[in-house]
Amino acid sequence: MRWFPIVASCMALVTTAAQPARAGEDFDILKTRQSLFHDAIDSVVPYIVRIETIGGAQPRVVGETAPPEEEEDDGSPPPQPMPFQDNLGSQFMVADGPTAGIIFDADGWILTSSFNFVREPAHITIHLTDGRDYVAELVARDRVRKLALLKIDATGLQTPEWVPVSEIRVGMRTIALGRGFGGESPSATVGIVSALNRMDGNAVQTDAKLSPANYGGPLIDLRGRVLGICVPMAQRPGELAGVEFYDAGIGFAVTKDRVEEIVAELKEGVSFYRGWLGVSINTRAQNNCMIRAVADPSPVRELGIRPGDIIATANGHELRSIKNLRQAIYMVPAGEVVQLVIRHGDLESCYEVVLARNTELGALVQNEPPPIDPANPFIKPKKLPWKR
Amino acid sequence: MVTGKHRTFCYVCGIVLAAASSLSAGGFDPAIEALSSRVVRLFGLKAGLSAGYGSGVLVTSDGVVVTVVSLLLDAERLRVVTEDGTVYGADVLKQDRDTQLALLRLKPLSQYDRRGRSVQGDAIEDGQFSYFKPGDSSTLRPGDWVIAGGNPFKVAQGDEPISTTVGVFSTRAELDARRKTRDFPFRGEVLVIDTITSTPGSPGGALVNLDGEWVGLIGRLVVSNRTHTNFNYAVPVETVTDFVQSVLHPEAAPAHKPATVAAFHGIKLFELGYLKKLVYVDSVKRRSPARAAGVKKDDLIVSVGGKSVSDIASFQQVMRRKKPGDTLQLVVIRNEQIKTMTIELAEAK
Repeated sequence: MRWFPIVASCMALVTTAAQPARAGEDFDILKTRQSLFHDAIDSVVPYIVRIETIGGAQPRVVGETAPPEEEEDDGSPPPQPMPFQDNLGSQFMVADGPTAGIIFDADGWILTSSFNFVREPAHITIHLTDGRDYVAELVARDRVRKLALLKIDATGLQTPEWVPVSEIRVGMRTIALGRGFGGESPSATVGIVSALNRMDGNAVQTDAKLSPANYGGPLIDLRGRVLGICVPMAQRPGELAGVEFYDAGIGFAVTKDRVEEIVAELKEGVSFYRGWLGVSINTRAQNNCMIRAVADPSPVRELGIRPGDIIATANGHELRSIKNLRQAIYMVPAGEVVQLVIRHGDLESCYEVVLARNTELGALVQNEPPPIDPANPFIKPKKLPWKR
Repeated sequence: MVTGKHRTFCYVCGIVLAAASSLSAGGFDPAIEALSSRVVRLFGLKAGLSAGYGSGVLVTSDGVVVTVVSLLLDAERLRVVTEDGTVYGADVLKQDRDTQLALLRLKPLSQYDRRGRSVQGDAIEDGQFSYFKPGDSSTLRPGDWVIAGGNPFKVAQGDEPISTTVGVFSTRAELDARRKTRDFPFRGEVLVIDTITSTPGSPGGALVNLDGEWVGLIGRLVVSNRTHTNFNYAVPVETVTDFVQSVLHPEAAPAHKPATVAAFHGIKLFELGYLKKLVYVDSVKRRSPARAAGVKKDDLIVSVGGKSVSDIASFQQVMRRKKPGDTLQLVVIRNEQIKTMTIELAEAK
């Protein structure tokens, strides 16, 4: 009995020598976390669908701009896929493989990212985890939040649980799931919630690697609940904006509150487009946002806003440059209202401008607009407080 | 005699030992320890795409190293640096085009004595190196920790340890990728991983699981044809081991594979225009497997044997790998409806 402690410590020595680090409780924590990952992934897999797109546009200038003036047509096929280019000149390859979406409600509504349909595919098929295949219809797209809603002819589908937006915290573990590489099971990348209320409150930011392999798929928490839909996003407009962040640890997922705001309209086939004011800003102006030219017709021209006027604030944000203006309105889709304060000489007036689609805008003009009706109730002149 | 004092001392010893062992690197230390002594750094020819450096994995105790095919291996003086900073030369035993794997054998470098005379270095002895025994990559599940070790951007100099990164296993998928404008020849299944290994110097490094078991070899830098992004992946250890065994023990490997006979399905596809041609059926031959399966003119084939085919090239690529007698599931769209049929391939006449 007396020898027991020596024997025990010798045994301890032997075991620690043989397995120097296994004894570490960190290792067990990692093992536990690994099984948590498995459970979370397994619980959400039944709600993830595989989306295949067939056909569609060749790489060319896409988006809401006019086609390029000269289409190259020498008859020879280009040797490699060309990058897509959006109207701001950013180029990216659009994924060719399958993509992911999730079942949004039981009657066959599938939510995914509009990134997956930049090609305007001719056919879309959906493969459910239980093995059923469907032809899907692309009902509507939100090009601002990069979402798309598909409809399949199915009922009684199971839907995943979403994390209430108020419960999302910075630092929560996240797992992004996608189907972009093909394969039997969805691909998983892990990270944390890096920030809330990104992109004008539309998305949470995560450092899980998001890429064309998982845009459209869900971002889930460790309990297998959906935090949001993974989408490419950046603080600038454009259909492909944000794709260049792929795998960089900067990713965005649109949260449920924002999806619910628009899903009724999406179901009715209403698509959302980027909203335009129809003004060109003088970039040489110092420290202000002076209008150089106004599109005719455009929402601002109808209100009598003219070249030379200064946009002082937009939606409450004070504007010092064109960048500020873009930042203030880049997440406002066409058809929604932006509040502007316009300074014209000594006058400062408030306007509510309904943003337009760029297809509704005319050419930029620099001449004076028709005289303003002084009885216009929208124009509220007031003296500038700091004016001498 | 053990007095009370002794006893206390023994307990303290035990506690100190236990404390020392729990001072671990967050639980990843078995994996990192396993990697650092078995992953070697390669330095060779630097030209064009090749960075001139890379990584390799020791697979025998007498210095056989497996790595990926790379331009750096064409160097006249290929150098391999082990964990302790010792520099070895190496002979390339084999570079395999299909798997894009390469096998090297380390050799002692000649050294110079004080008078500048060349002297042969110490011969390599059996048992000199720690090496990886293959683990089992099929046990990996999405969400499993994986640890990659290599020498990205040749950060590790001299006897500095290699760089390791931690991530999770994403999924298993078939590699469909390209380098610059050329398709990557290896098309087998790979381990997609959620850690950045698409960096110069990482290819040829090892991928291990949390227990430090070798599960994959970090593959060459490629761009995925499906997502058009840089692909972070590892070649499964089974594929690597098959290659290593076929070079080290060629007599044990099966002799020449039987010449494959082209499979016949009887579908003529509609071809018009260029790029991204949809897989529309133009006609089906009489008394052909496709006719028996129920394929009709104007069907749009969307998937073959569980693989989606978005253009004629990918359909033909899948078919090229099939043998007569294989049964395949064919999914087509006909009148906006999905139809599934089974086709049994015949021998081409």
